[in-house]
Amino acid sequence: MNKTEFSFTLPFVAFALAFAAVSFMLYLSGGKSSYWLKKKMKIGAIMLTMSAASVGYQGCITTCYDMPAQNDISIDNLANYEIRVNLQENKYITGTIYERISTEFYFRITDTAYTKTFQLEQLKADDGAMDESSEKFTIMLSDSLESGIYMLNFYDYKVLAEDSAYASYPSFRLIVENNRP
Amino acid sequence: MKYSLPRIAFEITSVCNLKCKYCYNIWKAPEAEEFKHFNSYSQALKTLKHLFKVADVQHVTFTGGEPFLAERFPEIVLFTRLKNKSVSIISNGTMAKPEDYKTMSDLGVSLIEIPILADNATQHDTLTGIKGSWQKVVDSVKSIVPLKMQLVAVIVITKINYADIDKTLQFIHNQGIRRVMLNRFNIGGAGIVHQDELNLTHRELNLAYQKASEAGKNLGLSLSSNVCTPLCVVNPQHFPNIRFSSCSPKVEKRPLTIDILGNLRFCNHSPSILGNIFTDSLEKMLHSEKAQLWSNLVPEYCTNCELYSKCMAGCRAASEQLRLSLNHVDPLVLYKST
Ligand code: SF4
Ligand code: SF4
Repeated sequence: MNKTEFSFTLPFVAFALAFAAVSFMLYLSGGKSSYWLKKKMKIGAIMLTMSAASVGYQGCITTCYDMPAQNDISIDNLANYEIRVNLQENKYITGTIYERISTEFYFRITDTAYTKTFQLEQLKADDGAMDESSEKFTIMLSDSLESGIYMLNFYDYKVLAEDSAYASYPSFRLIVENNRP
Repeated sequence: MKYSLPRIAFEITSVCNLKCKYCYNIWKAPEAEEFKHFNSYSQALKTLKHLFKVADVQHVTFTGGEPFLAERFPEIVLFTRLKNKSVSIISNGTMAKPEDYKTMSDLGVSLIEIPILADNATQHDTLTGIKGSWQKVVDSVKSIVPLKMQLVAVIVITKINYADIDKTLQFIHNQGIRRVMLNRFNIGGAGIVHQDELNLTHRELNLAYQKASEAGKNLGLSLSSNVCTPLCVVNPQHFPNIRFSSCSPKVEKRPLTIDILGNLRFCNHSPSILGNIFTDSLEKMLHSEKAQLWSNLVPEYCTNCELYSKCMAGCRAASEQLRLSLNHVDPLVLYKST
């Protein structure tokens, strides 16, 4: 297990245990204790940021009473809500921005604790201009990414290298294999 | 292999504190007196667990009734988020407290929809049937705007509020909201009883869209009209600042709706049940003859219409709500009252 993965797992397990304990206490109260409910929500919210559950939905379906989110990023290479790439076979990630309203998008690849940046670039539309309601994009992953688990974060505004990294909206788990000699 | 259902609407409770005249909920229809209301945490959890087992769901929209009245609603949202589904909520904006909205935002709920039907309490409360509901909505908006969660205001366009739609949009803009969904009154549920008060003539509806389109442009609002509207009644090209959408003929792309008992419907407006996820396979339900009728049956009224592939005869769930067959065009088309 590499360092990146470890930093994700240890605190997560601790929170998962706390979550189980708090959920049990809430269960004992018949779901009525507001004290344990607050604790459960708080720990749950922290676990969600740690596990980086995606917040954008993956595809554009317009429904009668239900509105899709804007600047909604969908990834083609997504399987079980993770992106897996073997850099020897394919270093591209493709996707679509649905309901686009912003004109500038950036992506940033960080460790799972969002403390270290490995790649930060502007997201370019495949057709060269961010001017349509849906825009397809392609990301070329850096060859220098080591095997490990990362976060791929998207931003609908300009991000500078000196800005501190943090979980974005949306972000995806990115699992990279790089067995270069 | 799991069946792919990217997006579903989950009716988490039928209970609601308001009495909206336009409410399309099927249990508000005049003949639904025997309807048994549902509101159960354990049942909701059981159904969601089963749904996630049989289907690859990416997004859940919680609707009702009023979702914030659902038993242990925050825990249901947390469960859904921990299953890595994105979540949005359709609420009436009168039940949740500021801390509830904050919790939803902390759980990563991406979007919440709240009705703002007018710029004044009188019109709004007339439509919701409960005094004080407008003020509660305004207070809710103040709590939500600073949060990470996107807020979409919904205007249900009816005879009562259409003439002042520009003022309503100005008011919405002043609250710091930039996205508005314009839902024309679509007959169904309680709206069947109140149709004479709510129905708009074609001219009135077009006038409302015209005012909205102009106001939206001036205010820089993002406007959409989501309830499928027959193209022979409203021509979207006349209203360039409003994005119009219609239901997809593809079954997986429809706004499929499941209630906490597991009953699956084509959309939250349609009363007809395709089956139950506990007893029927999704494959079977979504490819049943009944389901296919939605794509295959062209209402007689529309047989020679060149616009059919775009329009699909408007909202035929509205026809169903009026106990008409799927062979019947959207009732709005034939509504010509003066
Ligand atoms: S429209 Fe919504 S808020 Fe109004 S009565 Fe129906 S469920 Fe309640
Ligand atoms: S398909 Fe039917 S409802 Fe739609 S525009 Fe044509 S005639 Fe009107």
